[in-house]
Amino acid sequence: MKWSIRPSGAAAVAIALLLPAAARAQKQITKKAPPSSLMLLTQEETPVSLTVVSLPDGAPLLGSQGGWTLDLGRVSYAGIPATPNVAIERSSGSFVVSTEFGLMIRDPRQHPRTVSLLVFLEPVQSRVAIRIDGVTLQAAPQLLAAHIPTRVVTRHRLEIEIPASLAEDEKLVVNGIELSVVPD
Amino acid sequence: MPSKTPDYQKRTRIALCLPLLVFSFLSLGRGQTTGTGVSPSQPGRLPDNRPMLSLSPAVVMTRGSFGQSVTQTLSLSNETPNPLAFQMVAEDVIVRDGARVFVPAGEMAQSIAASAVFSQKSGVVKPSSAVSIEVRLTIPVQTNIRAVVVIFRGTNAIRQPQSAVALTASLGTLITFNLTNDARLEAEPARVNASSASSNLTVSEWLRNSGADPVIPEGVAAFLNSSGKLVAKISFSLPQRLLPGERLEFDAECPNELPAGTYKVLCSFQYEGRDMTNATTFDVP
Repeated sequence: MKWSIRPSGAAAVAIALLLPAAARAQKQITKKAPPSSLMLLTQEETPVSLTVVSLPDGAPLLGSQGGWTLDLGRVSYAGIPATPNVAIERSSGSFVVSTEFGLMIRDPRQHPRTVSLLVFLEPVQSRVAIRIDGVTLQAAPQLLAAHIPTRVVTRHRLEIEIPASLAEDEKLVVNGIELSVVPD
Repeated sequence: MPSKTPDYQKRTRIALCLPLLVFSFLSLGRGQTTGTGVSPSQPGRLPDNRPMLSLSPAVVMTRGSFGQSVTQTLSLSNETPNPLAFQMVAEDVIVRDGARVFVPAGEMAQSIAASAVFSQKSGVVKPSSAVSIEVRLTIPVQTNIRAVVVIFRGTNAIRQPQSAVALTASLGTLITFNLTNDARLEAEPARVNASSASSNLTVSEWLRNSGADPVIPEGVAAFLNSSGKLVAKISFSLPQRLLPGERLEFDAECPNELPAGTYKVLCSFQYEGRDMTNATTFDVP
């Protein structure tokens, strides 16, 4: 009896010892092969809105929902701007037409938050340099401002530097200043 | 060719008309706009409240490990009267000198944005319709990048019959990645700005994320008088996200007018299940 029991006891002891080891091995295997997908923590659905706002000392803003027009009027190297609040600064090789405009980031749900504002140009203008707040616009998005609080009108300066060599009466077509709003 | 005077040899006359096409209600996230939300200082006209372009979700926060992937559906809704052509763009968001920088995909080694695979690279959203795009991002086996922005980049600039500059709007979703448990904040000494005739007393504190993962600190400032009694407790205004290396100032404004005396203010911030408190004393004359 004793002889027959001994192996059973030994086996039981061995199983008892091996099981945790097997379990540990299983855990190690699990650690080595983590799930292939990141876990989603949260999604924020809070809406944020942006609109252009005319400023008292900026060029008049025309248009209505869906389209806004900031009309700088007819300008020339030598002339005086006909449109109020449009300035011209001249240098030897170019002149800069500038005005101010406002942007408002809004959160209709009144949830306080901040956003970043990126700006880029599509397509890139080869004949003129366009700057907003001193940032020369390029094809790649650039940060115009970060941590802009909602419900505040921010003031921005638009400058278009035009080479004096551009022919008189030539129409200047500048398309594609693009603003991109990204929550912080 | 135009005539040119000797004085203005290079005289240029150009008509500029700047249509700022802003899909005037560019919205991130779904939902109807219900209030004007306009600050009293707002100059100019009040814009229409109706959201016209919206992207959902606005922010996605994920947690996981290096080498893992995430697939996220982004929905762009167009309630404008015009079709919107777009191109999908992903950029890495990093921090340099304490401030965020947006870097085109692939410019940095270990770029996460470079791994972006879109179910549709470009398209057009017709008026009163929506489009859903899936983006799959894979975290490299080693990277210090913890955020990516995915942008619906508008490509249909409005062309006016006259010379024009068009300003179009695009929308981005921020996707952040918590890949380690290294969440650390460093605080500079709190500063107390005395109240004036036009402003309340404020407490300001610069926080810097010195860890490896994004954090969203939420803070409270508690004001104790000279006998240790709590006289005011206020929240720091915005629970703002700090990416690794990012540095921001958090403000708390005390609405109560404190009587003359010596006070201690305790500034406590909670983040990722951790607490950080520091204190400073100040006098109200």
